[in-house]
Amino acid sequence: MTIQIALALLVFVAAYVLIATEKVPRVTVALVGAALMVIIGATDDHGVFFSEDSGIDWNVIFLLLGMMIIVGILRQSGLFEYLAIAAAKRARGRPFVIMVMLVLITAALSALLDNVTTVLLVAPVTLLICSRLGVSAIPYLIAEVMASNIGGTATLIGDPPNIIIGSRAGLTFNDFVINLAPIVAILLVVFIGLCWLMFRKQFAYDAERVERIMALNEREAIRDVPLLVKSLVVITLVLAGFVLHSVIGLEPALVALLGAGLLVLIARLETRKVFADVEWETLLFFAGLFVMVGALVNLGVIDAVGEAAVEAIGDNYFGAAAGLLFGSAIFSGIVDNIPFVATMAPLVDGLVTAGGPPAEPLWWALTLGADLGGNATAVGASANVVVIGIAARNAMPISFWTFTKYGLIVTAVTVTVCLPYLWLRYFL
Amino acid sequence: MEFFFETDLLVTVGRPASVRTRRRVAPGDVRAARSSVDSGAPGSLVGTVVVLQREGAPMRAQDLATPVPMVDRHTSAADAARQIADGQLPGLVVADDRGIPVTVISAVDVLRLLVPDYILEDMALAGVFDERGAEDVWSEGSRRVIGDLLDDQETRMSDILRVDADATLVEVAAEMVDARAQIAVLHGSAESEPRFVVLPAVMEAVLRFGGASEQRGDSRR
Repeated sequence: MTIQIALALLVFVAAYVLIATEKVPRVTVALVGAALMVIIGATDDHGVFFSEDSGIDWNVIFLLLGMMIIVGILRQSGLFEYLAIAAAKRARGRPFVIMVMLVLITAALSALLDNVTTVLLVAPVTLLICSRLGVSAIPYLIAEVMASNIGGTATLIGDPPNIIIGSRAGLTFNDFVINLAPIVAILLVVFIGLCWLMFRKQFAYDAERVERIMALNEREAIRDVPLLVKSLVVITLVLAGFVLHSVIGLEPALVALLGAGLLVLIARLETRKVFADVEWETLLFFAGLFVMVGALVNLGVIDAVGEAAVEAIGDNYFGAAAGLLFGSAIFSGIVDNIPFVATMAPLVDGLVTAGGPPAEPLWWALTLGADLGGNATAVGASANVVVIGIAARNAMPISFWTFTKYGLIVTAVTVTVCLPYLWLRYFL
Repeated sequence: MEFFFETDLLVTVGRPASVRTRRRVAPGDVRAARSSVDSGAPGSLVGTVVVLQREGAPMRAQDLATPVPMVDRHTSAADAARQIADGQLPGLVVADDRGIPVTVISAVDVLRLLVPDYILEDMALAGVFDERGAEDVWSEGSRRVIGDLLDDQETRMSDILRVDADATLVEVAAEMVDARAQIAVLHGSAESEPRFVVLPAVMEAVLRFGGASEQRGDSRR
């Protein structure tokens, strides 16, 4: 091992530790780590900006940017609040039915939006509904954030790790839906059953308060009907663009950017509102991560680990998939799943390239493990942290262990359910 | 030396009315100013006494000083809102457990306490309540206390601005702008009875002197 490789590994491991411990803002860590990689000569300007193997994955950055702009405009329409209140009224105030409806709405939204945006939309209206009903919102918020992590697994754009995997593996929107939507549907049924078991003691309510739910006027939540119509038209076009990728030949990032541009043009909102939901720090965090991982690719570290993995796996791809599934779930519960997937994607790419079609299910094992593992702990996914913050601001503190107690159960069950799915679908 | 002062007088008996008056009082004797005003009106003075000018000397911070109601972290949002509404105040001074002023909360901050956070996080929800629901919202908010606001990391609280008693009007104005403060405590005033400079008083004085300068400028032209 050369000094350069040793230094690169030191920077990489130190950055991982700092990201995991959250002592320093993660974007700072990623950018400083990337800068150090350049300084030690592990990568250069060509490697950072132009290399498909070891550079910043612009498909990921611009797909995220485009979707952030579209969702940022769409959320101003009030559609999601309308749906949630209408669902609560349809449930006639029965807590478990409300929870099921909110779980399903959250999971469906999360498949189309990123998880953080989804919970930002659903959590406030949940607090309102629970306040009217006079019940604690904590079980509902926990259920929703977990539903968003499960639902986001189903599509290319549902969760940032999926975008990284899709771009690295060349998997399309349709590939994700065909391979993951069936298991996500099964997981949601299982998850609803778990919600009943975990929260059944908290479903008592005062029937007299139901009228307070029924008195809510969901139509008032929709503040801008023309904006709603424009947003729905554009997002339909964008989804059609994703689905018809093989026909129109446009990368998802370009489809999202074109959609964002069209919506900005026709929505005619203030610039401040258009870009309010763009998380520039997240985009820079991704860029920094790609540079750090790319540096290890440049130095041959990823290839060396990949070769060792190929040798260890042999042709036992089901064993590899099981290891990847559970290993990813455990790791993603401890560390943010984005840096984990950014590191693992080139590694799995090497395994799939070496193993051919029999090894392709490894991508789905990685996706399922990384996405579902986010439910394990309070810090396993960004959406968890966001919901816990919203709950705290509304005088409903959810402690780390309260969340993690439920999270470990849900993660263990859902990840275990994925194993027979992978076996039956790809290895039987 | 004598002061001239002017005030907006809010009469609490019968229909509130604004009365402007001018009287001569001893230096810094706000109490005399108040009683002087009170003597001519049926009710009590609630508004701010604004000293307009002091003969033979530039206006100082102490000339603008006035008492302001203080609250503490245990004061309910409803009580704080009542004081602001009754006194037409731009904000309230928050005192620590020893009664020493530590920070200022603006009227908007107090209003923020009354509105549930989930509505502030998603403004689309503000319109979905009927009358009964709105009453519930205010009822819930009223039970919160000033301490909730102080502990809220979303609300930036800074130490109360302190101005020297002999600071000139320009210094006071500049320091309040720099600190974006609506209320400042007079440095050196008694801890048991702190006195404050409030933004409307400063504005009134600035307008008065600015207006006078403008008039002089006009006459020169």
